[in-house]
Amino acid sequence: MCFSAFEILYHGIAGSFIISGTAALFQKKWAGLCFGFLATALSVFGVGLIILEAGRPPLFGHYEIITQSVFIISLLALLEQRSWHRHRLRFLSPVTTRLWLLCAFLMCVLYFFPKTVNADFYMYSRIAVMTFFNFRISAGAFFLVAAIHFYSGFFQGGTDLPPSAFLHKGRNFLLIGTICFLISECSGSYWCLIWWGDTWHWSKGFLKAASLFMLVMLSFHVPGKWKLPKAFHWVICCMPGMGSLWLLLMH
Amino acid sequence: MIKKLASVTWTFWSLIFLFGLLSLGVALTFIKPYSKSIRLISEQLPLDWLLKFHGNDGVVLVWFLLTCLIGGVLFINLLCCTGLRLVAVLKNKKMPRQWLFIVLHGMFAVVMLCHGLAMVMGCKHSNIRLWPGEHRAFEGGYAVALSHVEFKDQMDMLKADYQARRSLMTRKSFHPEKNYAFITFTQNEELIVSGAISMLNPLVTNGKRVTLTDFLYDEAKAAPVGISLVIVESPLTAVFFMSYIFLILSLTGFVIYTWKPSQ
Repeated sequence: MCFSAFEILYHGIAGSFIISGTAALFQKKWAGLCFGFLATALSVFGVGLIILEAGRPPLFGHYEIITQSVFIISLLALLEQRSWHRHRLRFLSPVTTRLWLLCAFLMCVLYFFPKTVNADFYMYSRIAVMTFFNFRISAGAFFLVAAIHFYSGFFQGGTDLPPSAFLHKGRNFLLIGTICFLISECSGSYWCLIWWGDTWHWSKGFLKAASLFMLVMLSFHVPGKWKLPKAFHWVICCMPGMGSLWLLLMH
Repeated sequence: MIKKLASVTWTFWSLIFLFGLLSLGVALTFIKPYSKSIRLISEQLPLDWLLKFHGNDGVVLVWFLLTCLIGGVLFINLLCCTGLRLVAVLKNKKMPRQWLFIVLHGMFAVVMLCHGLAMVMGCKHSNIRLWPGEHRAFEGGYAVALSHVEFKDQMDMLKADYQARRSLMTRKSFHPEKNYAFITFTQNEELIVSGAISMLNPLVTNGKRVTLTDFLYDEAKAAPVGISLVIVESPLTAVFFMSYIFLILSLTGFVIYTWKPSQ
């Protein structure tokens, strides 16, 4: 059996995330951290290999999307652990643990898809097209990170920190995701303009993106005066993450 | 009344309904006859589509009108909310955070307005299929003529269907700059613009835009390679992109300013 460099890297990244996620789940701090670092480093190589092979950043197709997403998510998982360390908390952050488990899940999903770069459509050479696809992947990754923060705000995993510590970070990542999403949509509108002559199209892709944007806006506009169960807020705030996961996997 | 229209409750329910309608639109695109009707909206100005509607597809018409209606409600809510907040900020403290918040919502209102006006202003003619030597006339005295086409890459990719083309038209096999068409665009026989046009490189003049959307292939024709064009007149394109960029910048400023939780 002959494995390509993409397949070898895939197995390395997937294995490292499964081990780091499982170790973190059982609070095996050093094993979790070592394999978390290894998985992040390998996902950097994964993104680098795509750039080297295709001559462009990750844009389209399950392999490219998931590799870039886990790269961003795992980097933020390590940054979260760093800020956790500053609080002198000796165990692993529940956010880091859940982000590693999310990466492991995404890599398991990727098992069922070809581990190779997407066909190099000629339009991918345009900056507007690259920006559209790449920022959309980044937006999805930030929405997922925000969803994990919101989830951790309500299900804190044994910590005695106030929920606001997680919720404010979640709100920040949701906003960063929104910036990435708007950059992607703005360049997508420009791409549409030079390809089809107009900035908007009544088509599946545009309607999907607009629905996702409604979910993002919804999470920022829950009426404060409503006395709703916490679970309702949690579901609303996690919806952009869930929506982008669906969009990334079912494109 | 304005306070009610400006409430977050209105925003929340408008967003819920709009999300539902847009998701319904996604679902409709999976059903062939509806998908075809929805595609027709983009082939002309949505207002023209509405005025020429022949009643074959009531579902898409109701869905489109409801989407526009709820979009309009959200827009009014946005204007009222931004206006009230603006008044409050002018009366009270002049905090940068509040100003960024207002600018951000104001820019979003401009983006929404441009989307709305683009559906009723200007004109759009799609799917103009021409082969060398042919010309086409439209309403308003406009006409477009194709003199010749240069296609230097492998023609096999033009014979493939739409999906197969994606994998055939790669950066190595298709070169947009080497494949072009010479067109002449006139109004009442007066030249508006003429020259070479290629994929992703439209001809633009005074808010009018001639875009080459595809190369066509027909063996039966003397010159088998033809083109498909879209002609659009949209006076708000520059305003749309400027407000979009300011929206992104103001949101970025807002995130930086509110990064740390307020005490």
